[in-house]
Order: sequence, then structure tokens, then C-alpha cells
Amino acid sequence: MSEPINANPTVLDVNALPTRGEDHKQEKALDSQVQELLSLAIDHGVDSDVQSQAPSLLSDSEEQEDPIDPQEIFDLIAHISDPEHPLTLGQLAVVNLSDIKVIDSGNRDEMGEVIIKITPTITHCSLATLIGLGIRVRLDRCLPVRFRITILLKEGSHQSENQVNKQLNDKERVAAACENDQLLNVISKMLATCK
Amino acid sequence: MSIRLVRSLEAHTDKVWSVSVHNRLPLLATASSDKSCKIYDLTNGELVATLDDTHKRSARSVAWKPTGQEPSLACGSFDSTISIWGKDYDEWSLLAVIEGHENEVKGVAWSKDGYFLASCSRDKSIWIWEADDDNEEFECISVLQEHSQDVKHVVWSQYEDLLASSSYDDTIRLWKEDDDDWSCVAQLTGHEGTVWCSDFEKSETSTRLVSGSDDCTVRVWQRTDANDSEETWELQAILPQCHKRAVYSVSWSPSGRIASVGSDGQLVVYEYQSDQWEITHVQKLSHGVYEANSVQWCKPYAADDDNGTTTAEWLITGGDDGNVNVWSIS
Amino acid sequence: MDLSLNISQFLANSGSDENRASAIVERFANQIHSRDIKLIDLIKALGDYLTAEDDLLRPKATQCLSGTLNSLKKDILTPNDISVLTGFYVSKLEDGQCTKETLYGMSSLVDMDSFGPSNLDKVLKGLMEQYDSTKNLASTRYYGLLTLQRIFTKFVNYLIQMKKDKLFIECFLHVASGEKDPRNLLLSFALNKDISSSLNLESFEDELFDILFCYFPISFKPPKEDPYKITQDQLKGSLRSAIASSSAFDKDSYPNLLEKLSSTSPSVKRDTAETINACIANYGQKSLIEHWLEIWNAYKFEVVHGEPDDEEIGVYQSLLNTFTEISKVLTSNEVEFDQFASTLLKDLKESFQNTKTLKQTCLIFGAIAKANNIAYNKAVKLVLAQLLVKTDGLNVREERELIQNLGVFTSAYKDVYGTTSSPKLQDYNNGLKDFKDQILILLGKSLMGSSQVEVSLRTLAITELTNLTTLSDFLSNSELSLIAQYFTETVLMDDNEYVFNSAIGGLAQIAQLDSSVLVEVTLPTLISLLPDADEPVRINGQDKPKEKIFDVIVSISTGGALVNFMVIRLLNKLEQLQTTLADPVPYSFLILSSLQKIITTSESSTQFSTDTLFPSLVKLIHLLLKFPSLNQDDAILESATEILKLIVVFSSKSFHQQLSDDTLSFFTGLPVANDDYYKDLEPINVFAEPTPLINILSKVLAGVNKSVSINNVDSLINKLVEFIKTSSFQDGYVRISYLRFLSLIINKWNCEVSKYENITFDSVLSLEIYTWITKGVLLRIDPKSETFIDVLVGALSDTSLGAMAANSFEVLVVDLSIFEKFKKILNNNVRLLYKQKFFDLVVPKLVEGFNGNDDMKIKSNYLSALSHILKHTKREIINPHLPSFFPLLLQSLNLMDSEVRLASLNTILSSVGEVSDLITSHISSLIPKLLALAQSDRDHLNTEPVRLAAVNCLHSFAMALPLQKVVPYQKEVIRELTPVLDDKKRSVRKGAIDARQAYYELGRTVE
Repeated sequence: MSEPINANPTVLDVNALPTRGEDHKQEKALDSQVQELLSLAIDHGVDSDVQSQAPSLLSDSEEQEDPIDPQEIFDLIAHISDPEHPLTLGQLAVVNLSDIKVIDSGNRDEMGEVIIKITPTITHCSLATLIGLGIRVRLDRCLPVRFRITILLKEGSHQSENQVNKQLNDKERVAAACENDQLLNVISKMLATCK
Repeated sequence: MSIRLVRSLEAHTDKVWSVSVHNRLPLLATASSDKSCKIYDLTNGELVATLDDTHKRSARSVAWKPTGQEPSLACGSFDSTISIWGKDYDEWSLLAVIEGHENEVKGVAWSKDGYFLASCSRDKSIWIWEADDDNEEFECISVLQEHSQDVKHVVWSQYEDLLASSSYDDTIRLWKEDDDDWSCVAQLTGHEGTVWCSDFEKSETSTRLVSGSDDCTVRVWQRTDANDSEETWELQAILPQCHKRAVYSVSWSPSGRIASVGSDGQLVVYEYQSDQWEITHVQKLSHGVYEANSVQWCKPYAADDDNGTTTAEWLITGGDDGNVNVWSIS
Repeated sequence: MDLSLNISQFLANSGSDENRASAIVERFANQIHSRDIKLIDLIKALGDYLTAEDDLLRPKATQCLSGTLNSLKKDILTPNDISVLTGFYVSKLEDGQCTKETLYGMSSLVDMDSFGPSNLDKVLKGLMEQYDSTKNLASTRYYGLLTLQRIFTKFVNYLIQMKKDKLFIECFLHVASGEKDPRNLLLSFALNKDISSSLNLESFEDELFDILFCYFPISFKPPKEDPYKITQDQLKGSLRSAIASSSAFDKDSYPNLLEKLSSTSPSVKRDTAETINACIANYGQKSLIEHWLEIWNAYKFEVVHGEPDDEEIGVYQSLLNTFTEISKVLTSNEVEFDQFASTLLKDLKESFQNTKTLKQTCLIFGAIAKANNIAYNKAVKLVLAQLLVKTDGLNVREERELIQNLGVFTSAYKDVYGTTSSPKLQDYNNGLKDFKDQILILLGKSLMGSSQVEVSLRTLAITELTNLTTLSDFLSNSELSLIAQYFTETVLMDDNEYVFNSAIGGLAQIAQLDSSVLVEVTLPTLISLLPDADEPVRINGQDKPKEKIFDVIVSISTGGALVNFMVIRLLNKLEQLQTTLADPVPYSFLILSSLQKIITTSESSTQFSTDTLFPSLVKLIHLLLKFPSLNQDDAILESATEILKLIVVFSSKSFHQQLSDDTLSFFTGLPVANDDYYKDLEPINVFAEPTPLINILSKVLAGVNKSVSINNVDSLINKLVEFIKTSSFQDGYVRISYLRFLSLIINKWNCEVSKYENITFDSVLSLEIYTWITKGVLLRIDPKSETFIDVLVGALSDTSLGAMAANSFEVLVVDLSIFEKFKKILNNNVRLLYKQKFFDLVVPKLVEGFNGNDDMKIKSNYLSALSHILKHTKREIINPHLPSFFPLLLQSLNLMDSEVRLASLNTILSSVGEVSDLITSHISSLIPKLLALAQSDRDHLNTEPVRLAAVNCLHSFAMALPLQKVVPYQKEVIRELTPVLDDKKRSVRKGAIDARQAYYELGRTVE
């Protein structure tokens, strides 16, 4: 590879990246000791009445919905590798939790929207398009089809902001790029570090 | 007035980019990211032929040739070639592969008498090809390079050899032959984003063009003056705003209606009523939660009600779900 | 004659059957040892062959002689023999056809006891004049080098005394030049090292060096079938120690090595630096005084502009080690070391000011500091004064870098002075102490004074403070308490998991050092914060969930003193809550679960004993009996009794008999003999009516040692069985509690079970009693257990009880806390291998039952029994049986039961890697099935765990099955998983994303 364009980026500690905190489950855990015991009753789940073939105590209730939120989007793209550093977009603060917006009613028959603003490490970074494309491919693969994805460079973060924005959000160009094997190999490599 | 889904064809396993209906025959052609084109019989929705094993990348656009004994069509692909297919003794076969563009071919269109084929590409150029009756020889007679960015779409007028091209450079250009040479006779500016598509009004007396753009608007332009080397076009109207995302395709019906589809999945129909354009139909989720890429009007090939009346017009749409939907507007 | 016959045989076999040939020479040697023949006889008999015209015959004859010599004892030949043979072999060198055999003989000859100096010149001159290494194969050259090595080992002193160094070195250079074979090179390098470190090199140092350095850097890759298994590292190491063997090389080695330092290959760079380090360590101070400046000049750019974090193969560390090595050698010469240090300081003046090179500069001085006490003090004095000159007004990045740079010197401190757990050296006035206050203030400010969003800065400060606590002989007690206070405040105030975890880690570290600091500083703070009402904790004006305090308590309460302290305080709190709160249940949950965790986590610490907790045990029993709020809530009772069990388990056996007797008496309504445990309490009879209090009895008995005896177990069991049969239980928990107690008694104490073998299943309850009896019997692998199991297997085909019998199988294998095993503690009769035995026994019966029945409902009983067992069985036990029941597994994916589906999916998932053939053969039916199970369904049978397991299975196929088998499904899987991307549950979405990504990348090779 030729001389890196930005040889000395500022790097965030992986530990410092925002994560989804674990909820407290102590009380549940305690109660579960008893629940486990109760499930050992041998007539548990066995019912002469076919109608009420409840699968199990736990799934009886309607499942709670986990909405798709900015943290979920962040987790999908923060671990994409930068094409020229052995670092991730999260570490380089190219993607930031606060720059991800999700508009979603949760209704499966309504379109949702994800808007991401990325901050290239330097204002003339010619790799901005490639990074954006990597993010787009990742999200196209990962998000439900009802989501429309918009990827923009953060205002003032790049000399040719509009050009890059236009290219990243041109469906046809992205589709054509994804048929380019060489490019796809580079993107595969970038996505290989996704967790 | 109502809009009704006549049928939905599960045509492809990947995006449908383009649909085209034959001007005389009940034939529908589709082009898809799965690298193939399909031909359907519009009277019964049955698959007539699959045209595949030719393009190495997505089939992006498809257009029927308006003339000829047997039906034939052109298909432009991201692999930079254009394939010509025709029906020959009841068999659909590949007649020619045209090479010339440097990279992705994005649009193809036949002139009113089938004499010219126009193609446009990512390489910023438009090529005009002279076609023979057998669809075997295609000679490039002009390469038009005035667009500063990709050319997304080309379309011919049905009444004269006038070509309109839409581009990533946010403009539309009109092209005519002048002394054996093709040149740009007008440039339409105003859209604030990529112009994805345009279509001519189907009228002998008035020459208008509708265009759809990434800026979410649909605009109507009118020719107010013309000579051999220059034309004057003016923006006549910005149609009532309905789309919330890019408009990918527009079509002007013989009866004067305009239809548009786009990224938001909406199918919108506009009519000119009492001196202004009004939205008469909005079909949300025309392809479920997928995007709709292409729309075209055609005449109805089945009765639209029990009385057997056929006052309706049909609309064909193609979407990212791989489906082609047939709608009846009455 | 025998001899000539043997010679003929040797000549016939040599070159074709080497084993026979060597057996023959072995025999010759033995015959010579036993004086049956003389060596001279052999030579005579070989005579004609040795000089034969035949170019093939001569080498074989020579080989015969040399082989014999090689097998001879070293003391058998006379000086005369040696002299004759030396003459023979030296002259034989002229015969180009026999070089290998000749050198082979020669190498054996020089090793003989009687081979004296008189023969030495002849051999060396012979080699010089008659032997040309370049014309011979590697195996021949080997013996040439071997001969020299043996001579050297034997005659090194002679060579030196007689000033024969020159002759030997010349001969070595002659023999070793142009060598390429790795095995020979190892010999050559070793010999060169010996020569260079002991002989007088006269004017040969250049040539000796050249014959080494021409191989540097070693890039040898071992061939696949190298019989000698020589590695690159072996060669590198051997070459390195040869180059470093003599300071006579220094004028050549340093310039040459330093030139290679700029190589772009990281491995060459590292090899070079390590070789330089070896040279520095070996050449001695005198040499280094002449060369350190040259070394430094060459290193300067590399280290100052190198990338310390790019630690792929440790290049940068090797470069840094050079500074440690230099310092080690130079420190004994104060003037020179000062010169060295101040030169660096002068040259690095600008690097200190430049943020891009500051880190590297500190690392250089850190490497110097690592060398020893003198170097440490010098480096710290020079650098820390500069580093700490400005600590105010730094931005966050600068502050972080400063702490990281200080860390370099604390880490060097450990190298020189050791840690609190392994102190090395004491220097009461070491340089770092002068800066201690400044460092503590800086770190304290970074941790306590910066905003909570500065996660990495605060984490770093905590790590560094923790580091300080580990330094040997560094912090005072009051400083340690201060740090503990910082950490305590941090864990209470900060919710970021990284900061929190680091601070907890820091507290744990301090606890290890001196638990009294925590007992005095941290724990009282924590306890005082616990609110009296069921409300959030108020910390510094902010509301925090109570759980936070308990998280902290659990995390740091390790080790006896802390546990004791916390248990007493928390039980007091628990008691207080029962009277002050209207609904004490949720708060009590928290306290009990925390207690349970504290004891469970401490269990792993060595010599954990709960004897001091016995007062707490009594207190807890009394609380349970006294407060309905504690004994009427199932979850609380279950948890509290679990704590009782744990305390009993980890207490001395001597308490157990009385505890067991008293408890059994107390709960069966009998008078209690002692006052120790149940003083002032009204006895309870668990056989009067069903009561959840049975669990106190049950858990205490579960905890006592199995040597404890119970009077008349059989009648207790009888009573229990009758009681369960005849009671009407309102409450599932109470019923299971009695059944569990029954199972415990049967397992733990010897008793008569055969009378229950033939129970008739006249009710669900009777089947259930039978199941729990079976469990007790099965766990101790009682000879009767198969009979019991057969009855249960038989019940599966019963149309009315079958489905319940299937559930019985879960009871049999589920792991219950009353049967938990602890290291070195015998509190039950659970045999380690019971699941394995049970699985081997029961699975064929289930498969047979499944195949032998046509009724779908009954078939499904066998399947769900199997799936219950699978759910609780390790996959090492399952895998050997998999092929026999895999088809059943596939069918059970269709059963209308989530748990069954999940168990089957998990079994498939965990076996993909091991039985990929089996899975591959079913792939065409499995993939559509899994795709269906990955989607939510109307009946809610595909629960979140089922859907997740299904996508995980699909994912694992892409990773573990042969590519060509999976590729045909690539598009289908990607397409059909698309709707799963919109699953309600995040975990399933993530699973689908990962699975799809694996299919997208199928067959794509990313370099």
C-alpha cells in the first residue's frame, strides 16, 4: 500500500466506545431459581386440553419488542475497519453514536429511516467514499428492507462534502459498485472485523 | 376514480430496474439485477421468455423497438454492453451485442420509427446508433458528451426525432439532428439533485416533458420555441409535492395523466384539472416496504369491471422486491 | 572364513540394506572388544577392497572400516593403531570417491582416547590440503565439521598452549566455507562461537566474522520433511550467539548490523536488534564504550519515530531492549553511563517537546530505567522532572499521555524493585519516591476531578493508581487508604462499566494487599449508604439504584474477613427491614441474592471456611422462622435456604452431626437436645401439614457431610412417601420441595428402596414420587437404578401418563443445588459419571421405543424425553450417540413444543463441528427447516431462543461445513433470512445479521 493519507489519526480507546449497558437482572435471577423448580413438575406443560398448549411459562406472554435504536446501528458499523489503519471506524470516531438518527414507528408496514453522519479523519480524505460505501453495504445487508438509509458527511468535515454525499446516496452507483469484485474484496476486508 | 392492483408478477429474485410495454403488442419486458430480462404476456400474466446468460452484471434498462414485423428489444447492462433480442420463428434469441461504452450502460431508447437507438452511460456520454431492419448491424453515428456526469436515462419523442437525456449533473438536455450531426438544442436546469428520468407528453400539438429527480420533485417543462439548432424550453409547473424521497421514474399517459414512483415506494398519479396539476391517486407501499424503480403507462389488456368497459388505463411498476405490479386506473 | 564372509555380506548390503550393514559392523566391533578378532585382521581382510579399482567398492570397504571404528569403545585402540589409521585416513583423503566414508572414519578416530596431539597436525594439514568442501555433499561436509568439532573439544587447551590456533582456525575456515546445509551450519556456528570465544584469533577475526555474517539475516524456511527438524529459530539463535561471542568482532559486527536495522522487514529488524542486544551483553564494557554512540546514532530515528503500539512481532520492544542492555553494561562505570544518559537527553531534547515523539522518548528512558537501580534512579531523575514540570492546564489527551508515560516508569519500577507480592530489591531513596506526591496528586485529579465522560482518562488513572499499589515498598498505609477512598467514590458515582470495573479491580487488588483498608474505608461507606426504605440510594445528591451498591459489595467481598463483615451487616439490615417496611420482599431479595453471591464467589478462594459464620447461620434460621415476609415468599425462602446450605457446606465437619440431629428433631416436632441452634423457638412438624419450611431442613441436611448419620432412615422415607401421597398440596413449590427432600435422603443415606420398585402409577403424584426416588437412586449409580429407569421408559408408551413420564426424564438429569458437588467436600452421593452412564443406558432404549411405536403421540413422548435429557447433558457425552438419534432430532424440530425444538437445535448447533458429515448428509432438509424456525410463528412456538438457535445453526453451517455443500444454499439463506432482520428481538436480529454476513462472504477469500 502507498503512503497512508492520514498517518497519525487520533484514536479512541475501544473501551471508551458507547455500549449498550446491561440491565439489572438480579431479581429475575432470584425468582428464576423457583421458576426452574416449578418447571420440574411432571405435569408441567402437559394438558389434556389441546387448545391451551402453552409452550412454556416464559413465552406465554407476548414478546417485548427491542426497537432498532442508534446504539444498534452504531454496534453494526463501529467495528468496520478503516481501509488504511488497523483500527475501526468507532475507534477513529468516524462514526459517533450522537450522529446516528433512527426514525421508526416500529410498524412493519411502514418505512423507517436511518440517517448517519460520518466524520472523516481529515478533511481531504479521499477514502471517505470508500468508508461510506462500506457502511452502506454493511447496513444494506443488516437492516430490514423497510429502512431507507442516508449516509452523509458531517457538515464541514470534508472539502468535497456534497460530491461524496451525492455519490454515497445514489442507489444506482452503489448497486454498480457492489458488482465490482475488486471493490467488494476491499469491503469484505473492512467488514471482516464486524462483531 | 380508483386504483386497483390487477396482478403482481413475482418476476425476479432481485431488484427490478426497468419495465417496458410494447407499443402494439400485449408484451411486457423487465430488466433486473439478477442479470436477466423477462417477457410477460399482459393479457394473462404468463411468462413468455427469459433472456439470460448474456450479461455479466445487472440488466439496467429495457426498451421495445416500436417497429418491425416481429417484436424485438434492447437491454442495457452494467457490464457496459447492450443486447438486442428478437422473436424469430417463435423463439426468442439474442440478435446482437453492442459494445462501445466504457462502463455501465444506464439507459436505452428507440426513436419513433425504430431507426435510431440511443444509449447512455456512467461514462457521461450518449451514443446514437443507426439500426437496420434485421437488428444485426448497429452503426454509431454520434457520441454526445456534453453532460458533465453520468447520464441516467434517455427517451425519444413519439412524434419527432427529439431525444431527452437526464443526468447526475442535475440537468436535462435535448438533442436533435442538424445537418447530419447531432447536437444539444436545449438544457433544462432547475432540479436540485440527480435527474433520474423524463418522459414526453403524448400529443402531436404540444411538446412537453415531465422529469423526476432526487430532489423529490416532479416537474413539467414546455417547449416554447424551436428551430433546427436551438429550442427554448420553460419550466411550466412543479407538480404537487408528494414524494418524500427520490423520484426514480415518471411516465406520461396518452390520456394526459402523469405517474411517478420512487424510493418512498409511493405510486402517484397526477392529472391536469382546471388549469392546474392535481394529485388524483396515491398508492402507498406499491411494492411493500421496498423501493419502486420504474413506472410505465399502457393500455388495459383486460376488462376492468364486470360490465366489460375499458375506460381505464394501466400502469406497470417494477420494484426492489423483484415484483412487477400491474395497476388499473379508472 | 567367518570374517571374509561377513565382509562380503557387508559389501553386498551396504547401500541397499543399511540396517543389515550396520549390524555387521556392530558385530565386528563386538568381536574386536572380545578379542575374537583384531582390528588389523579386519584391515587385512578388507585390504584388497580398500584399494580396489572399482569406484563403487572402495567406498563400501572404507565404510566398513569407518563404521567399525565408530562402534568401537574409545579405549580399545593403541597409540600405534591410531597412528597407522591416521596415516591411512589422511592418505585416503586423496581418493575423491571415498571422502564421506573417510571423514566418517576420521571423525571417529579423533575421538579415540589414544588419539594424541602427535596426530593432530597430520589430520588438520590433510584436511587443508586434500579436502575441498565445495566438491562434496552436505552429508559428507557434516563429518568434516564433526571432525573439527571433536578435535576442538578435546584439544582446545593444547591448541592454545602450543599456539596452534592459527592452524586450527585456517583449517576451520577451509572446511566451513561455502556451507549451506542447515544442520552443518548449526555445527559451524557453534564451532565458530567456541573458537572466537577461546582461541587467539590473531588476524582471523575478519574471516571468522565474514563466515558468520554472510548468513545474516537468516531467512531459512524448514523443508517439509526435514529429518533433523531444524527450525529457523535454532539457526537464528546459534548464529546470534556466534556473532556475539567475541568482542573482536565488534568493529565489523556493529556497522554491519546497524546497517540492517533499517530493513523494511519487521522480522529482520527484530532479529537484528536482538543480535545487537546479544553483542552488547557479551562484548563487555570496554567494547561498548567505544560503540554506544554509534549504536545510539543508528537507533535514534528508528525508536523516536517508530510505532510502539504496532507490536506485531515485538520489533519495537526489541529495539527498546537495546537500551536496557546498554545500561546494564555501562552502569558500573559511572562516568561513562552519565555520558550516555546525558547524550541521549541532549539529543532527545526536542522529542520531549513534541507530542508525537514524547511517548517514544519516555519509552527509551523507561527501557534504561529497567536495567538496574542505578539506571532507574538516573532515568527517573532526568525524565520525571521534565514530564511533571507542567501538570496544570493540560487537555484530556495530554493528561492521558502523561499518565501513560508515567506508567512506563512504574512498570520499570516493578522490573527493578519488584512488586508487593514478590519484592526484589530495596532502595529506600529510589528516584520515584521523590515524585510520589506529585504523581498521586496528578492521578487523583485525573480520576476525581475530570468529567465522567472522560472514560479512557479515568480508566487509565485507575489502572495507574492500582499499579502504584502493587509496587514493592512504595506507598504508605495512609496513601493506600486514600486510593481506596478514591476507588470507593468512583464505583459509587460512575456508571460506566469500564470505569466501574477498573475501580472494582483496583479495590480487589487493595483487598489482597491489606483487607483491613477495605474494612475500614470502603465497606462502612457502602453499608451506611444502604437506604432504610425500598428506595434508590442517594449518593452525592444523585439517585442511584440500590443494585449498584450491592454490585460493589459482591465484587469486593472476597476473602474471610470481608465476607464475615458483610454477612453480619447485611443480616442486620435484613432483620431491620422486616419490621420497618410494609413490603420488605423486593429489598430482601436483593440482600439475599447478594449474600448468596458473596459466599459462592468466595468459595473459590483457598481455605475458605464458614466456621466464623455460624452465629450468622443461627441468626438467619431464626429470621426465617420469625418473619412471615421471609418464609412465605418462595423466592426468598429458596435463596435464604441456599445460603444456609452454603454456610453448612463450608464449615467444619465437627459441627454437622449435632446440627443435623437438632434440625431433624426440630422440624419433626421432637424436643431439641441442645440450645445451640433452636433456642427459644417453637418446634415445627413438617409432617403435620405441607409447609415451605421443609426447605430449611432440606438445605441444612443437603449441606452436612455425608458421614453424618440419621436414625432410622427407612422409616423417615416411608413417612415422607406416605405423607406426599396423602397430602393435598395447594402449592407446586411446596410439593416439589417435599419431593426434592425425598430424593436427597434417598441419595445421601443408605436405605432400602426395592419396596418402591413396583409402585403402581395410580396417579400423577405416584409417578412423580417414583421419578424423584429414581433420581436419588440414579445419582449414586445404585445397582437398582436400571430397574427404576426401565419402568419410567416403559411409562412413555402409556397413552395417559406418557407425556408426563417424558417430563420425568428432565427431573432425572436436571442439576439441582441440593446435589451440587464441591471440591474436596463430601456432602452427597452424586457420582461424577452418572450422566454418562445414564445417557449410554437410556438413549438406545428411547430410540428403540421411538422406532417401535407408530402412534405419533407416543413417538413424541420418546422425543421429548430425549430432548429433556439432551438439554442437561454435555456434548462430549452426546456426540458418540448422535448418529443413532439424529433422525429423531430432525423430527423433533417439528414437534409442537418450544423446549423440545430448542434442545434439538442446541444439540445440532453444538455438534456441527464434530459430526459435520452427518449434518452435511441432512443439509437439504435441515436448511429449509431452520429457515422456518428462524421466523416468528403464529403459535409463538418459535420463541426467541428457538429463533436465535436456528439462525446460529445456519451460521455455523457456513463456518464449519464443506464449502461446496453450503454454497448451493447461499442465495436462499440470504434471501430467506431477510425478514428475520426485522425480528422483534435484538438478539435474533443480530444472529441473522451474522449468519447472513457469513453467507455473503462464503468462498470469498480475503487476504
